[in-house]
Amino acid sequence: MSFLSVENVVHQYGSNQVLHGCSFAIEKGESLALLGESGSGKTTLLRLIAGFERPASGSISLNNRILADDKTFVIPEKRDVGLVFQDYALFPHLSVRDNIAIALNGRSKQSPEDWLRNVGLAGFEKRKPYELSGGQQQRVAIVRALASHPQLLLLDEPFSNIDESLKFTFRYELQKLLQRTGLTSIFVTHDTKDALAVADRIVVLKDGEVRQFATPEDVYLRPADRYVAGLLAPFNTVRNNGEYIDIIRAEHCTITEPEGARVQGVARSTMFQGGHYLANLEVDDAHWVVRSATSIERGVRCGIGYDEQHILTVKNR
Amino acid sequence: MLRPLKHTAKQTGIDPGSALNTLTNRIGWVLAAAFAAVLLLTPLIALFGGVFIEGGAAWQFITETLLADYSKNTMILIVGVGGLALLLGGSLAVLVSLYDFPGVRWLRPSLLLSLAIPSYIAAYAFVGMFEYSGPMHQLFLAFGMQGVHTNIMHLPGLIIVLALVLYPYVYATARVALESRYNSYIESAKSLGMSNMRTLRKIILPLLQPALAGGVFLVMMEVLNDYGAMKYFGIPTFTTGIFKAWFSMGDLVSAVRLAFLLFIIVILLSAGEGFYHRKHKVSESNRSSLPRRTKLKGVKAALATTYAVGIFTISFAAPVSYLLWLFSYANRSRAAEEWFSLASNSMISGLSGTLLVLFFVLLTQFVRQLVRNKMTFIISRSISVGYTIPGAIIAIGMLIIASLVSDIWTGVLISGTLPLLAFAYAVRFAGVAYQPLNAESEKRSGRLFEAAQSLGKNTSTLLRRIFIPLTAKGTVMAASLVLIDILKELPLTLILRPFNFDTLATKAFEYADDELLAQAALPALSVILVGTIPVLLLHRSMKST
Repeated sequence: MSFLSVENVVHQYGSNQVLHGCSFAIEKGESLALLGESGSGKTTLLRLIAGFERPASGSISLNNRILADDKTFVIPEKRDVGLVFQDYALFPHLSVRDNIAIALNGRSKQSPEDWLRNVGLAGFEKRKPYELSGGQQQRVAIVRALASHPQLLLLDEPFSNIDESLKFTFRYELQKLLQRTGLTSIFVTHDTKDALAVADRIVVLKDGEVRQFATPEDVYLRPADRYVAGLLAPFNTVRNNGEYIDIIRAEHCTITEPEGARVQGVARSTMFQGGHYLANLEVDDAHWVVRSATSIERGVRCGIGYDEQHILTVKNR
Repeated sequence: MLRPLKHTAKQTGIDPGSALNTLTNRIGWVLAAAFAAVLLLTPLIALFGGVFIEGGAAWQFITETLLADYSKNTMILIVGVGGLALLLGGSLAVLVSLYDFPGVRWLRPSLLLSLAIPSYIAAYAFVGMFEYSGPMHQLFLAFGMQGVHTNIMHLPGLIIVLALVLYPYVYATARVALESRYNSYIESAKSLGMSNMRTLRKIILPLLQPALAGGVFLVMMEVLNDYGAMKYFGIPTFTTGIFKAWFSMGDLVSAVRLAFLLFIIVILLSAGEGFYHRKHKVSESNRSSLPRRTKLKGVKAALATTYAVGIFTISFAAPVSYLLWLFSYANRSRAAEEWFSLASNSMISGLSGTLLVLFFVLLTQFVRQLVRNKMTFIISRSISVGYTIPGAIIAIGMLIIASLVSDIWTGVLISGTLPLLAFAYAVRFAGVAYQPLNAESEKRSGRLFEAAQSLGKNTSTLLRRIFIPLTAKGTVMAASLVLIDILKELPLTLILRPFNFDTLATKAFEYADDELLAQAALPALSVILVGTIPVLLLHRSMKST
């Protein structure tokens, strides 16, 4: 049995069913990303694992212990599951030190000071949470969750309040921290880059349904369906066979001379992406997005080339 | 004082350069608003001046024999009622917000209801219930408890009665805090493995402190504003002292001095509350969702229901049923006949006061939107000062003004006239209208004003086309809240009303004071009925947060 397994979990708020039988399982020490747009049910799934919601049916188990099924329901405080809230939820009336001390509750030989030193916050013990920057607050929140010695760490949108310029460093720091502690973790994100960079496995959620559960490489290179493919990067439809479609990623296409090209189009717009351009071409009555090294003038007719081996066949849904 | 007076966050973000420019263009409007604000402060200014008036025939007598009692009793009442209301309101709020037990759904709004009973009505209803001929005593006799002493007309009795009708202030502020902000802290504590009791002790109660303190502050202000209950119980305090000095001894100078001392207590209390809030300022999580309530079972559930239903019964159901029962003994044809004249007097004074309030508040709010600078901010805020000041103090300030007027223009008597009473209402209750109107105009018209101004619209177009339509809903809300507060008001009305001008509130009090309990029932019930309207509005606004 896997370390954490979620089987056929259904959840509804009133008559509104938000999760329709979600299943996945991860091993000890792995890091899982729940990836989806807002309203996909990813936060609900996280809250079900934390124990703040009770599944309508299905089961959740951690380390050979059932946390929730038809008969059993373990309350959040007895689950050994740590949760880092999106808004951090640091106790505003307690100092940084006491926020951690309250989680330690005399369980550990390590002092709050030790924990804070670990994340570079030595000297901040006496501060109140509101006296810290957003990034510092988040580090305190993570350390606080770790201090309660959970078997599983959950992080709700850990990247959402981080400045774009700091994200790279933060992804790296988080990955390092997770690897060092060897902790099993699940984080929720709507940003594919975060999921691809940090997670060992990804669950892609759409409208309360698991569309794909795989490694980051598989999700990117072998998307299960059209939705997953589009969530990760722009693509073009080569052939539509009804139930399945053949697609090609923008980055696998090249701009060629129009003569003799298998696809021809007229440039409509180009967007600079930093290292390259993305050109939008009108092909018959469809649009193709193609990666290009140079900018293409509007109205220029050009060809689009690609290698058959890069074509992906995905479910058309 | 129904709506918690939360000092809204800083709203003074303005660009001084452009403000100066618009200020010169609209100086007339600003001056009018400034004049209105100063006018509303005149009773307080008069009170300050009045302290230095020589004389005061009874002053020596008062300081030597009564002042010590006034101070002692007032302090005991503030602390006692505040403390008991804290216990009742705080425990009930935690109970209904965090736990699920039989009846909790209807108990949540019902526990607010006793707020609709003015303290002077509660006082006589409770005393009546426990009297020798009253239902409680009959009940004791029926159970064979002969000679059980049920006199509640003493200081501890008054503390209990006042706490029973005032605890909803604490209950409401604590519930709003618990239900709007604390969910993520509670969940966070649980995910750290903290037990329910530990979460309550370490997280919820400490975090709840500012809200509880805010509620207790409102309770204490209401205690200072009370006159009727203290008079009925025969407990000498500053308010009853003011009445005694003015009505029994005819000594305005002494009344002014007592009012001034009471005013100092109000200032100290407000300062203490402000200091407390600054000290306990916490930045809070902005996520809001209803906490998941823990379901209570068995004995615990039964105890919770019994406690909450018990408080509801004692504080609201019992006194209201008693008044209804009393009414069955009243001379109903006389009561009905009288009711129309009382109700129309109430409406006449109430509506004139309400119109004045709307004039003052709309004017200052409009100018605040027209010229956004520090000065107009202060003008618009200062309007609500009177709301924290007991009615008796404002009334005494008005009496000084009236006597000044008749000193300057011989033969001009404004004392005991309807316009003076209406103006005093405006001073006291402008703050009630300030809250909803300020919220609405800050929320909705600010940007639109700037947009209209950039399109070159003139001031009267701004007023007609933007300000009035946008604040219409808030105006109606504000007007009804002010009207209701005026209908319930007692001490200010008693002092300033025209001769032989009786309202529902004054008559309910007078009949009770004359031990005509049955006759007092109908006006008292009318006041309670009117008073339930803002309570229901409060309940609705609490649900939407």
